[in-house]
Amino acid sequence: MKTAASLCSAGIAAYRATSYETAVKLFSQAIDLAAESPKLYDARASAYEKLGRLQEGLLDARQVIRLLPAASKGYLRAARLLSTARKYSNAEAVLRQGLERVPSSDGKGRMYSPISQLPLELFVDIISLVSEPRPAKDYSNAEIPRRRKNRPNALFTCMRVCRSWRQLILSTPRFWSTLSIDGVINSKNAERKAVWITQRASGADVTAPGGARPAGSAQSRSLHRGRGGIQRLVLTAAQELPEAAFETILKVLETSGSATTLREVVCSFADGQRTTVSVQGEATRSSRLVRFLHEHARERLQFFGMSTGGRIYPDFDLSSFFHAFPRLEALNLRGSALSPSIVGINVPFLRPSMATTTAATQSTGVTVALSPPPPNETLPPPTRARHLAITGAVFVSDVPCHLASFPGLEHLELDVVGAGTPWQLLSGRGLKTYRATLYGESHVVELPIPDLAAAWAQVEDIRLGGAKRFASRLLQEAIRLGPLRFNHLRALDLSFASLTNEQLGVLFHSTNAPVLETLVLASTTASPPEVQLVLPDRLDALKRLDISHTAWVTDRTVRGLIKSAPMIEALEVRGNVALSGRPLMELVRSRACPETASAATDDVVYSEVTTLALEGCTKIETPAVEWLKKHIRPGGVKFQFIDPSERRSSYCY
Amino acid sequence: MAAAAPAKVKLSTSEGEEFEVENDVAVRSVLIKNMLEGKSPSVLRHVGESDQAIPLPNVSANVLKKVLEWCEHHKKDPEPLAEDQDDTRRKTTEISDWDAKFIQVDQEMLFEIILAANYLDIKPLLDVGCKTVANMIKGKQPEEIRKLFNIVNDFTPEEEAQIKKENEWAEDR
Repeated sequence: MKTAASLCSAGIAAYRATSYETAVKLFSQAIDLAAESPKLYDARASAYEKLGRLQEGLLDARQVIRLLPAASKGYLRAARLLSTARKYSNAEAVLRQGLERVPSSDGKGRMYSPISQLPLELFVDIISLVSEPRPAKDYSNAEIPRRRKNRPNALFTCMRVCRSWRQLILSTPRFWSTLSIDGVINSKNAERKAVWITQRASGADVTAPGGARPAGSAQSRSLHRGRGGIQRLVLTAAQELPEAAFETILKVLETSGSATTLREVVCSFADGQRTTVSVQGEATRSSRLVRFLHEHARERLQFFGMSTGGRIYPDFDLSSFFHAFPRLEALNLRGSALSPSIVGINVPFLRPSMATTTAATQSTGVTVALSPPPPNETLPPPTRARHLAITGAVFVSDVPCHLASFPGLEHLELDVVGAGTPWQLLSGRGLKTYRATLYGESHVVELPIPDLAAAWAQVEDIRLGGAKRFASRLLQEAIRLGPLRFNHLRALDLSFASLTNEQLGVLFHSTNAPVLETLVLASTTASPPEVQLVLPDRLDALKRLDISHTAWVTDRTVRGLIKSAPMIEALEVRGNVALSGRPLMELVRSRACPETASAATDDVVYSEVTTLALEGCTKIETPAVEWLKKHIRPGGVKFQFIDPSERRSSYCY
Repeated sequence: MAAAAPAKVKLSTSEGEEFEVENDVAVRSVLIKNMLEGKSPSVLRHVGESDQAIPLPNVSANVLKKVLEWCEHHKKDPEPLAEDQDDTRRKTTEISDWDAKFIQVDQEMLFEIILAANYLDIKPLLDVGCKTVANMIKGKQPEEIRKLFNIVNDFTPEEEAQIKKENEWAEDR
């Protein structure tokens, strides 16, 4: 037994497949079942129209008018059919009738929906709140998986609501300021999409029922006036795009004038479907992209991000990049230090600045004067850099970054081989994020201690790692400074460092670091090794502690937390073979909700400790694990390795 | 004028009903504030000093009551910094608890409040309204949106077919 609805959708399917005869048949059957459905009559009318059976179509359109006298579509269909049949005066009469009866709903109608009363700009504001695109920094991290499950795009959903919404959204350039192309798209569609979006972004007329505005000069002029044009370019899985498609996208941006409006550009070669990536291809494309941006978007570019599964070999000094793009505030180059392949960014215009910097630094020391030395100027000019993140990079050149080029730096994240190159940045004034994982033991020992009093005055997030003596050398300096106070420090990561009790107890005690919430001490060792490391006896604000893979953590360490860390919510002690279950149970119990704990009910009361990661803690007895699972919210206790992928993701922090 | 006693302002609604409110409540509206400071057209320059009510010809009494309730609650709010306005203000659709409760009204009233806030130039209230509408739309299918706002689907099947095809390649997910 078929229903009208199923027949209708079958009819629509047939319609889409251009089998209009079949569609008519199916719609007719549906109408037999549901005679008063305007939707079905309208559908059948459209199929008749395609078949050129105008008379029958007109009859159906009349039915639509009869059933929905206040909707415009019946009148419009009837008028169009009449026009096709060259009965123009009849068409006009129908339209006039429609104008009388349809309560001006498509325009500024008040009868229908209150939302249509809104002034246009408010409506646009609302839609932009609904459809706020993901921020560019979401794409900047190579570790973040690119593909998630299909989410409906709010903007496209809104465009399917009705004509006027669609028209309005299509003709509002600010909704189209992001062009994002994923490498998995087929190359024809990539071009189509690039053209279509750039047209929207530059305010080209879309549906053009009357006269299409000529694209070209008028359009590119409007770009420079308003805030139109593509402002953000997001290329994901870019290694999968065919060479030609990649070039086409750039070409479209260039000819439409949208290349000059770009502010944020993200290009990711990570996380495609193909596992083998062509390093050469990535290097060529990223270099090409940087050259393209320099040619067209030099004055506007504020954010550039590139991520790859390989290592990055930036063949330039970092300040020259910012000098080449005077408005650039953020540079994100993220690679993976674990990969053997190397992606080089080789761009000629980044060279000259490098030469002068070389000249400037060498003029103090050795001979060799390249080109004329800068007049009266030993310091390179400042840049607008605020955010600098370079990970998985290998610096081969030893041209140092000059601190004078980075006066406004707030976020510094380095995970690089060749510590000498960015060394001066470690003295940046007033940094908020200070993540430095530097390799090159000799650099770390020989280069002067950074100016931590300046760099750490406002710091909120510190991560130190890499060379063995790096972290302890900096921490020792912080102690020597008084000790240096950490009034704003929220997160500290000292994984793999070799630490002393003084460093922990003095610097990160709550009297010195009052807002510290996250402390990661995974894989740390005590220095000297025979000493037992002790956590500070006050960690008032601490919520998350990671002491995985450490030999110094014992039952006593965990028991100590009951007193020292009253706010703790997450504890990670993976791979600790000395730890038993008892102290963990005591800790969890101590964090039970006070009011509910005393209640006589047998209902389970979860502790405020929500996460315990205990994988590989072989000494913890099964009953203790059972007890913990009962007292911590479901999923909060991780005891067994479940599968490798799970393990990997839980190790990322 | 002495700043000692809380000065009062009279507002007159579309029905001619008059509301007397404290100055610091009324000046949440930039429109009224400008009038009182004499920045607005000359006709209204004297309103601050005289007993004459400020006419609000397109705001009805029940809407104005609601708007003033909001102004009263927010009269101590600091002025938003000019630089924050465009960036942080617009981006999130979060609404404070009080505001969320305040804005739980029927749709007609909601849009009336938005229109009034727009006319009276009360940016934060306008934001609350717009965000509420945005949250109503979020996560809904086109059909649900039409139902919600009483919008007629005026696409023909062939247009819908065309749009669907277009969305296949144009839509970001």
